[in-house]
Amino acid sequence: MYLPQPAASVSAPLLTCVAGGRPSLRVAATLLAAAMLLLPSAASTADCAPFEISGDRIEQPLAGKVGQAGAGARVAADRQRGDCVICHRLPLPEGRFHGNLGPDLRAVGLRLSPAQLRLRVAANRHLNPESIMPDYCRSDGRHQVAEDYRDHPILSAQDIEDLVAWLSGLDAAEAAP
Amino acid sequence: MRRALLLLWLLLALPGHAEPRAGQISGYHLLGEELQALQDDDFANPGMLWVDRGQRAWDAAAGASGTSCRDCHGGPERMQGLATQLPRWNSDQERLENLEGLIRNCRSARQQAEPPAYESDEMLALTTVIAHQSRGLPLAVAVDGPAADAFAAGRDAFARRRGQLDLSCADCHDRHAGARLRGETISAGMINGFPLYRLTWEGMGSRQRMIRWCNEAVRAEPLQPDTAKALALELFLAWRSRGLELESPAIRR
Ligand code: HEC
Ligand code: HEC
Repeated sequence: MYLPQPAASVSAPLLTCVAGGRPSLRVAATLLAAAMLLLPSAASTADCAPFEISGDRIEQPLAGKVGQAGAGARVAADRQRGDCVICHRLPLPEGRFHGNLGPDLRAVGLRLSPAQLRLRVAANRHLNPESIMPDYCRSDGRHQVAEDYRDHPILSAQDIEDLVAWLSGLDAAEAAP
Repeated sequence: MRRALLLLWLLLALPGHAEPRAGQISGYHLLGEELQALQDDDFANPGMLWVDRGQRAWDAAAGASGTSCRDCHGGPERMQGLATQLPRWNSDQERLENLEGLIRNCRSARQQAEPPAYESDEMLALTTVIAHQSRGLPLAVAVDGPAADAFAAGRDAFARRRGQLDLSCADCHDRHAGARLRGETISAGMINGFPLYRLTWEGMGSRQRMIRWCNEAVRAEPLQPDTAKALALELFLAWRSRGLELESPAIRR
């Protein structure tokens, strides 16, 4: 349990208001995030990568990246990055503490193709502008963003491809916890 | 039982209404029986410690004037009702004033002492003892007349999406109250409990601390207390909570 400092800290965990992270992990994650901020970033101030939407899909992998399912699971659980479990039930530890603001995703791979998943993670509000789920590849059109996050999309192209690779394999059969 | 209550609440709180009246419900109802009992028991409620501390701070002389709050105001019970009306418009200063602001003013102008900082132990003690005098009274802020512009600004601030996550207060507390964000059920975002003891904080916190916390969670620019925007939001929240009984010191998860 911790209190976010009033001054912008280097890395405010996504919505950690809800439950504090383990301090050691948080420190490590903060250092990592700080290191990432120091890296020269070629990324523009807009999207995590250029993408083209066709219907309810993005067909091409973002920035031509190849996703890795194992890495995707880590992005989804990581409070500094995806933190998808605040809103979705996923086959990750502590399942009963996952949120239910969004649908249960433990079998999402049976419903949605990789191209459909890609659009929903990268720019879900293209489908539903009212949706509470953020656009993870976009950073434009936002207001009052804390300085450290300004003009940065929440996730990178690689993160999103990793998520797509992981989610597309979810079929509830292995929904462990 | 809790499920039924929640369902009833959800029915009442369903989206599509601009006025929250129907969906108003104190965060108390999400506590579960054990924590409700803790809040209700003045001997066990950890917030009552702050009422005691506040009482002592109230009686302590301070500053160049060498006076205490009691010297000017009498006992804290004389403040009954005050916390239900805050924040309110101060016509001389042309700004909204909340309980912390009133205390700070008194401290510097009358006691001629250093005003307690926001969220300092002394500030929490004083605000808690004062708010506690209004326990059981309905929140009733004025939002018309000179406060109307600030109220409108607060209403906008509540509805505007913000931060890297691009979420508004209303997204969670109007549209998704009752849903679970990770393990936590999102309440209707009422402020009738403050100052309150929050388990996640392991301590007391003010209305402004809560506003800052939620705001930071969506990675938005920090909302500094005592700014026009933060006070306007506090006014709007108080109006959203109108009619609910003040509970300070409440317990929340
Ligand atoms: C603040 C809440 C929230 C967060 C955080 C969130 N989502 Fe969602 N998500 C939703 C909601 C609500 C929907 C339902 C559809 C809509 O509103 O557009 C949804 C829908 C989806 C869908 C489509 C599911 C279906 O069956 O159609 C996918 C896939 C998805 N989310 C993946 C993710 C991933 C991956 C993350 C993290 C990187 C994430 N979500 C984070 C709220 C959220
Ligand atoms: C993504 C979801 C989310 C957003 C956005 C959000 N909050 Fe919250 N808020 C929560 C959660 C979770 C809690 C803790 C559980 C509870 O009491 O509702 C909380 C608690 C509160 C409470 C305390 C309720 C009580 O009974 O003590 C207030 C007041 C509040 N929020 C106001 C705001 C304001 C103002 C904003 C916008 C600046 C905001 N919230 C934005 C999720 C959110």
